[in-house]
Amino acid sequence: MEDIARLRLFQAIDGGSPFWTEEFANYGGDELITRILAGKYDASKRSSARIKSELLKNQHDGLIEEIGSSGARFITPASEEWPQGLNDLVAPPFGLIIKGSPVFSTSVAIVGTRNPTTYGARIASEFASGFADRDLAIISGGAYGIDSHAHRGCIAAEGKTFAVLASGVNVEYPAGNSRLFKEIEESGALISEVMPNVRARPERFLTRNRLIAAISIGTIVVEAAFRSGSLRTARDAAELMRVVMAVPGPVTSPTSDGCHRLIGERCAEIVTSVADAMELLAPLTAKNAGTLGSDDT
Amino acid sequence: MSVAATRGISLNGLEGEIINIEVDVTHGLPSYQLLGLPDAALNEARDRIRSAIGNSGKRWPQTKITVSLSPAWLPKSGSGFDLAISIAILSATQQISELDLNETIFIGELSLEGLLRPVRGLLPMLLAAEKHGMRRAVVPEANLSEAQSVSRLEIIPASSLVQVLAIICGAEMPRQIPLITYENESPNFDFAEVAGQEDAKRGLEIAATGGHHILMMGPPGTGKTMLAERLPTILPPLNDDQLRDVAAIHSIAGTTQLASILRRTPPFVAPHHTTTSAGMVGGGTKMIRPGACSLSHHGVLFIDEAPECAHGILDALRQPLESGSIEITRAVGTTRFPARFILVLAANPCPCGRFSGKGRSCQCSSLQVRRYLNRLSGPLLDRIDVKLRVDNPTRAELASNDPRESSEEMRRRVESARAIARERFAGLGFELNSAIPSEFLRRKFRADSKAMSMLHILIEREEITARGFHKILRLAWTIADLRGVSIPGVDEVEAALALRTETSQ
Repeated sequence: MEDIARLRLFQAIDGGSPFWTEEFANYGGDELITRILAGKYDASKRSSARIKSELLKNQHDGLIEEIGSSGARFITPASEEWPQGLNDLVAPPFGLIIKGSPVFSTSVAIVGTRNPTTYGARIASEFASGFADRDLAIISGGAYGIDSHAHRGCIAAEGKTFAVLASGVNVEYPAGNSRLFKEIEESGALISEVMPNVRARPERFLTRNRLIAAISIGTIVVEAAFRSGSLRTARDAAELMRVVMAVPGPVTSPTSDGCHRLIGERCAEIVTSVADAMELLAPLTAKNAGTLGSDDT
Repeated sequence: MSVAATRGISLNGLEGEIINIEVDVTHGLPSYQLLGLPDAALNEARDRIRSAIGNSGKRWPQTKITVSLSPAWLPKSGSGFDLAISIAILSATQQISELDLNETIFIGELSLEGLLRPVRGLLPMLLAAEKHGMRRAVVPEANLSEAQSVSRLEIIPASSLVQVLAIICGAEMPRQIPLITYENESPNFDFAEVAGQEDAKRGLEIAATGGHHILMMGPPGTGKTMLAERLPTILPPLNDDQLRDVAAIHSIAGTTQLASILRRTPPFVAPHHTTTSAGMVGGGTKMIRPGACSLSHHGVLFIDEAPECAHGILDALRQPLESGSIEITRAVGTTRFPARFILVLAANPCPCGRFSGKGRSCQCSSLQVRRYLNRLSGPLLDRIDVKLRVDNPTRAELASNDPRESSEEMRRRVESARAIARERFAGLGFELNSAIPSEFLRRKFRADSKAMSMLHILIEREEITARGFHKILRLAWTIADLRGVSIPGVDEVEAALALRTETSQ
């Protein structure tokens, strides 16, 4: 069955690979598994050998049980709660693991540095509260800094907030945020593209960023240094034709340098208040905002 | 042969105990015995005294000499008993006529030639002598400057054993001591030398007024040290009580700052970030010495590169920050030193120091930056009211020829604002805004109602904690005193909020 194949592939293949996405589209799940097990792919390329060995080991029932015991569920594009925005990705995930309530269809991503200034922390929190007041959900990562402040601001305003993690939904990383993760789960959900118990690896943060960009209708970068992972989220969002916004800061502040770069490169719109952002987002918050096609933007 | 006695002083921390020095000279084989738990330096006194007596034209008795320092159970240390022992020996051998020395204290180390050398801790010794009802003290001339701050004791300076003998036997005690006056020479540092940094100067002025602790953050070379060094120049000069306390501590430690402290300049102590906890709070095995936090009593304790301090060193400051004193316990006993200072911490924005401006040359990872700044523990940062961001001055500021405000002008404002606070707190047991107890802040010393409701909203939104609420109010009072406002309003509270959250990260 299709869902069984999806789950096994989901477990075996790291997300974000256009090649495997295409193979999946061409052959379908069951046949793709057969082909991999039959050794149709060069073992030295694209982790094929590792994928094959995972597929030899993994069993649908075992995977379902593992997900279930972590208190989460596995959803696929066929699920009703599948965030439609993900379909705009070049390499959409085979599925997602969700722990919490279904993902709100109209959500805004708030991203930025892990070491914000008090200014950045305040803006992230206040913007999140402001969006929550306007019935928009918040999406971010699970890191310290802007991510955490955005979640807290949203929770304080009793909104719905979602964290897309680079690790399994039951792996509390960073550990200092474990209480926040509980609150996020109660408010919205923890989302992940890897199996429970899987630890975060550096490359997963980048593939995770594309999910944040795709699920949300727009991304706001609050504070980002010159080399910041959140700039990647902004670029992903721009490629998906989402609204990309950046909050300016003092030109002497290194943590605003990345935001200024995005604005300077015409990659992001400058926003200085929630109202500013709402002007850009309002056209997208209509009832079909969940099925964002390129014709919407 | 007979017994004679003189008086000396033994110090434990800042507390002094009168020591009775008894010498018994009896017939027998020539020997010398020192009783009363002496340390190595005190044991060596015999050889110094023998030479000094010989070289002062007197005779070392070739008999059995027993020297007893009582109370016998108290461990004694140092070379300060040399003079008292030699006077007692000379008196016991009748080389000087019997004198009433019961109310005279002798302090000083002897050189082999018989010259009188200065000792450490003279000032606390004299303060103790005064407290124990002594009338006069013979002290080394080189120590005279610190001795003069003790008013009710007759001070007799001398430069040699011969001179001491002449003074005490000549029955002619000089009534007039040549007073060494310290011309009120202006301190070497002045805020007028600092270009730009107006915000930081205002922050330091506020901190000096209310006695608030400070964190300065900024890239290397922007002037954090320069600013901190000038903080004592805007603090009010030490009053008599403060002068005694501070000079006594510096006297024990034998620092070079004693001279400027006697000119009433508040101390400035800047221990290196590699300092040990004994260096920071005090310690020692035989004799407990004061550490940097006590040396900066009534002054400024400046710690540059504070996040580089070894684990636990900064947190050791939490007791003195809380109680204004530090208690040190070692095998020899427990000693308490006062330690009420303005703490100034300086930190770079990141381990490499380049994360400012565009910050593109900074190679520190996000984790490194967070670890670096996390080394300043939360409880310590909680006690810091004023956070200042120090950046490079602009070219215009560097090139400007406009006369800059001097430390003296700033100090006048600090003093008049402190006077307002002192009047307000009269009879309440504290003088500085940073010391207002929190229950007073909630009832007697509230801000105006608008400002209070603003703060309550911030608490509700969890932007400030209850502790932060009190800190902001104390800071707001200081700002109000400087502005001449009788009760802090929204403006003052907002300014206080900004100062508490100034630094990035």
